[in-house]
Amino acid sequence: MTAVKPVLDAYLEMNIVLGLSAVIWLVARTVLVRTSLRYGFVAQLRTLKALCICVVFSPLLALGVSALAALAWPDRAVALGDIAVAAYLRGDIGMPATQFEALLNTRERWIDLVLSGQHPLMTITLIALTLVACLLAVRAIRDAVAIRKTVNSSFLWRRSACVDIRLSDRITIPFAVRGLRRRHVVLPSHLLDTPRELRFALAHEFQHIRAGDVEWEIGFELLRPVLFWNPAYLMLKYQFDRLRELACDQSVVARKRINAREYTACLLDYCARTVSMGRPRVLNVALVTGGKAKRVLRQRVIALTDAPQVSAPLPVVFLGLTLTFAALLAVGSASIQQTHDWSHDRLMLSTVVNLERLEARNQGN
Amino acid sequence: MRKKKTTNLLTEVELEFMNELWAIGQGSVRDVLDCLPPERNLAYTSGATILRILDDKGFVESRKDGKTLIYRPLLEKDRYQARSLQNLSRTLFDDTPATLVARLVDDAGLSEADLEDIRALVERRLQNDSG
Repeated sequence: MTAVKPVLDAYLEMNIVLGLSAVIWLVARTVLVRTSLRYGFVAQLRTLKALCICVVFSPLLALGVSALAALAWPDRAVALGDIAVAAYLRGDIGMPATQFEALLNTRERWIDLVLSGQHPLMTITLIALTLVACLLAVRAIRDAVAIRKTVNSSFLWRRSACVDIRLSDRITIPFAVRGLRRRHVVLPSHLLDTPRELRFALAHEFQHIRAGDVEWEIGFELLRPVLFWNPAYLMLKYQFDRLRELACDQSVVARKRINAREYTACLLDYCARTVSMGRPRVLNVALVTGGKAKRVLRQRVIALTDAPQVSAPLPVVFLGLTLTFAALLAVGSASIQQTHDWSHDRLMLSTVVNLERLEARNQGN
Repeated sequence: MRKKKTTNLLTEVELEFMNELWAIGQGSVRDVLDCLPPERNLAYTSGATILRILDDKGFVESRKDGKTLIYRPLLEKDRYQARSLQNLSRTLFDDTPATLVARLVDDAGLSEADLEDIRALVERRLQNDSG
């Protein structure tokens, strides 16, 4: 049980950081859509990727902030709990010490409650969440096996340094995927019959590979079984999927000088083919993602036909945004960390709590 | 040696190529492309890829004639027709060939002569089976 506790604690912290990053992204997006980057989907995607990388490195960022704060302001606390204790001891918070301490230890108390298994409702919820996590993990494995089968049964058409282009008569929608060593672009073999569509599909999937979207998709989907219940994860994933396709379409049309209307017609045609088709939903990046992604497809069509051409943002803007995200997440993740040390303030609070209890006992006698 | 992929059925474009190969017996990519209707306007590389896929699937075999690859069908047209019908019967007609034939006979597109031919075929088959 003692080994599980730190893991659960870290897991909770990760979820809180994810929630914080979702809020940061919503604010950043609100700001971005009011600037010239409104239709700069490539820049928006890069910014979201930078935020996600900051989330991954948030434990290290938190350590950095704590160390920096200890050097610069040795007497000042970074963790929210320590700041609250200091404020309480200064008399800024007016409540009984026992009540304040209980409030301060809420997270620890909940973790103990979960691990004790004494609360039936909590246990049932935990079992249900574990079952859904297992189902999602099984789905990911099933889709990985299906993709592997499709790739293995396909015909190797072209091969470059790190990408294989394959043709398959078992699929109707082109997709990009990666194995342990190589990346694959799998195209339906009937595309050989329509060179224009073949060009669109190749340009689209190669753009995904160039942007590293396949790896991001795998990363997101590997996290789904443990984070599926977190609305912040779902929101970030939706935003990522949306921006990934919008950015890819924008890059393809700009780079390859493809006619946007013809490309849009191709997308709609493929979407009609995916509705009611059973195909792996995760771990691959397809040209279109079927009926459930209608809203994103609508946005893609509107963006392709109506959005003006956007020049790439200045690197300094991107760097500024990344540094802002890193700083916010560093401070945020450092402040939510639990303090296990017995600092001077904590000892004082404990003494006050003990005195309060002693007084209550004396009054009882 | 590369392992041949075993696939039972041909895609639409593969069938189109096989039909031309069955008609001419054997030929190069250019020969097959020349047989296709002019409006198809298929690129040479696409044609070559389709024939390579057919080779990979084991429907044709290839041999070198100078710098050109000559393709020859390994499967006869009759056998593929039978295979295709068996698949149709299994997947669309619940594995009951009688339903398939009933659907065919019900089709308004059949002329008197067609129906007469079918009757003759069935009778010949029945005589062969009883004899």
